[in-house]
Amino acid sequence: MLAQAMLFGLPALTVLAFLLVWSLLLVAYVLYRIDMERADGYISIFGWRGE
Amino acid sequence: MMLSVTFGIYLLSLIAIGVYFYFQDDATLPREYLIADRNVGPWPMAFSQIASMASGWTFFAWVGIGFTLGFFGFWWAFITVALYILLYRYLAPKFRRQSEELDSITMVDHLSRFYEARGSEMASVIRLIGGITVLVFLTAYVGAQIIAVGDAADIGLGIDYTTAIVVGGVAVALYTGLGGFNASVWTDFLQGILMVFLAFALPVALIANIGGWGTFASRATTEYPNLVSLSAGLGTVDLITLMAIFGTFAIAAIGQPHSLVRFQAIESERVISKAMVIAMFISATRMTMPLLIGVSARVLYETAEALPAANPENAAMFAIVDLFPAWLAGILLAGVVSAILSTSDSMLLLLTSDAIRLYEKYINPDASQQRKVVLSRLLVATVALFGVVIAFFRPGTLFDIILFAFVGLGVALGLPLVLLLFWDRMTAEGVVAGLVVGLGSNIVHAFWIATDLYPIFTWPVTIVAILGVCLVTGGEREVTQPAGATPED
Repeated sequence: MLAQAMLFGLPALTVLAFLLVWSLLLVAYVLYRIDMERADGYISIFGWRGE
Repeated sequence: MMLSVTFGIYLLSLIAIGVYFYFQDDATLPREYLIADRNVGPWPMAFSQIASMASGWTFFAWVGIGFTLGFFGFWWAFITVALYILLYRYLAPKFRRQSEELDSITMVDHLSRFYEARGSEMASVIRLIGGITVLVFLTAYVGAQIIAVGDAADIGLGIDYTTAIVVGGVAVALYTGLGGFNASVWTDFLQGILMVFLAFALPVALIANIGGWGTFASRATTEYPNLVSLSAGLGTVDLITLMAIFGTFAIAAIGQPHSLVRFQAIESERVISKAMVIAMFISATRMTMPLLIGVSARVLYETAEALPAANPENAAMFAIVDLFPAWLAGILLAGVVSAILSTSDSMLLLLTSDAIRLYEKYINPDASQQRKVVLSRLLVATVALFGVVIAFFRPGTLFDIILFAFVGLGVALGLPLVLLLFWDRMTAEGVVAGLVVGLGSNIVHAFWIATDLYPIFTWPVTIVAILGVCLVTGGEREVTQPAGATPED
């Protein structure tokens, strides 16, 4: 079903793949906010610093 | 004429940045020259890190993939951008911290110093073979970039190819040689902005010329269904093979010394997370928008025969000159050349950094700081000259040369570094095995064995060699931390 669906005039899967790539920017931003608030800017795993 | 003037102003501004940093007092210190005294902020660091990876690939080869295979490239885009998140979150902090402890300034220097600090006699071997590895792959890479500069100027400005490669080589040697790492980072920053501007401006212009988004989407879907499909119309076996080739190509990002040196130079481990967000934006832009440029150029121009040299890789250059007024085309052309030069300058610096360390180690351990800086500048000029010579003879296509160099660095340098950082049983002998087998298997695979499937097999061969040697030669590595060291230090 999804394979035949269209989004913005293009195949929906293709548009979703494009959005998936850009969603990584959002992932990076959320991780950055967590690092800032819970780990003083250091890279962390959801606020927890391994070393 | 206007196009050439705009482009000339751009080249002069790059050289001006080099001259500015040449007159900064601190530039007389090698570490300042080579890694800016580990004082690069998150914005220039992120822009320059991605810009240094962009190379002629982004607006030539990647646009060509869009023109011929279409949005299939989103697979590769996703792998690449996701890999950057992993690099920033897991490799960068540990590499930055360890690099300061060891006072290392390049990847090879890091691999060597790590074992030198532990009294291993193999440290010198690592430095020598690592230096050869970098020399082989980065010189080929620089040659590919100068070829791209020549093509860009040839198509965009109508300048004779030979003249263009000489002018491009001289410009990059001047600003890199004079200004060192600081000039490289700040010109990369400027170039990164131009690249992002071009990546958005060009597809907008192409789609507007087609008749707007609706017309573009309708024509692309009906006339070129394979281009808008994620499978590119390929059968299962071909699709899996192509994905494996692209995937093993993408993973080589773990071993690009001209890019990872940015992690060594960033001002603090605490700003890496912020730099990651900036890098993700530029990376997502450079991995998705050129595909849109390629597909929309295909819809507008319909066939590669309409492009210079009937080469799909020339679509972006042709569209810039075709669609924009001369003054703006000059700026956008600068964006294309930016992607190329920003890679070249970073590579030149890396090559000279490792060469200087070799010089210190084997020829003149007591060389003065001033002498080393002068030598660095001479080396930049020499390697740039060598790159111009490679560009003149064009030993292969741009895609072939970049694929060979990029994967070679990833396998031979990236694998040993990643294992050194994250596997306690990694040994100096294992690093040497990685360098030798990585270098050798890459050359054999690229030129003689299963060349159609290159670079799929060079990875497992090298991994097996490293693991085998480590298991034979090593006990558990002693984990050492200098007294009082903290992550921030």
